Amino acid sequence: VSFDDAHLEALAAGVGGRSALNALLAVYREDLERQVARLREAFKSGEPEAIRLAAHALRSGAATFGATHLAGAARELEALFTPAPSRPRP
Amino acid sequence: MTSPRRALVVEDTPSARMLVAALLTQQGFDVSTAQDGDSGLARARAEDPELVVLDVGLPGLDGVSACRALREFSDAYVLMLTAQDSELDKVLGLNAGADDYVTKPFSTPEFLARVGALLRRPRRAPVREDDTRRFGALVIHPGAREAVLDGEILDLTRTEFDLLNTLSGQPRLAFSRAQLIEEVWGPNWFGDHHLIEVHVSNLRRKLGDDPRRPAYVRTVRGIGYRMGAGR
Repeated sequence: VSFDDAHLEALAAGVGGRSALNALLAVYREDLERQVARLREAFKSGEPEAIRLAAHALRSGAATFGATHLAGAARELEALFTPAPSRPRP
Repeated sequence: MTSPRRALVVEDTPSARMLVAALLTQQGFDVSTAQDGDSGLARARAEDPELVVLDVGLPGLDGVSACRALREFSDAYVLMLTAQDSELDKVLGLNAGADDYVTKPFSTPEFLARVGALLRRPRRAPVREDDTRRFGALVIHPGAREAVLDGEILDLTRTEFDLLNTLSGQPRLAFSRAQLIEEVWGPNWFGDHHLIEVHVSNLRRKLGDDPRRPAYVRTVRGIGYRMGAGR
């Protein structure tokens, strides 16, 4: 997973420095493994809503920590499994 | 020296929980965390935080239900974290007593700006429209000058009730002994501040408060007293 440097700098400033950020990123990587496993399970289940929710969780974590490419891919996946709003009948 | 402001972060995703806690720690908060709604409520009751950051999508007791339960005993600022950018989450959260919400994923500046704006607001009036105040097992009806503990009406003297009424009316405020004397006895009363300690001791005894770890009338070292969250 690649991270956006500017985003990481901003996070580091907010959490008290680079070492605090590194500790957070280590925890995020563990979360990421769980989120990917959840997505795999969702695909196995074939439930569109489960896939959408798993993709959303993946996107949320990735965007929060500046994993920009991963967040973009997860956003596309989430959009694919988001039902279109129903149109009012004429 | 003033004691640090307390915050509670209730979020089930470890990295998000740690991130929010770290951001608030850097803002000077003394932060504790919980990973589900039930343990979050227990911590809130025990620690009486000034700010609660509450995720909507918690396992078990969800964030909206937890917020509603929190409002039964706390006037903390509540900032909800919503995973979905849907109006439903926001409306449910605000109706349950939240002060504001942030949609995940959020940027650090956005989160800190929301927290800053929240803390600049005046505190909400405690809790109930009819002015009934609840602190765990203790219910205070100021209009009726009545305090009920575990369903039993307490036999309080006028002074004891006035003390309890003053403290519970602004539960986030630490009152000095001089302030309490002014509130309860009036501005023209001059006397020994130890008088307060005698009445507080009697009040605690009637409330079943352990003086070493009181749940209702808490000692604020070097200042005086403030209301606790109860038990």
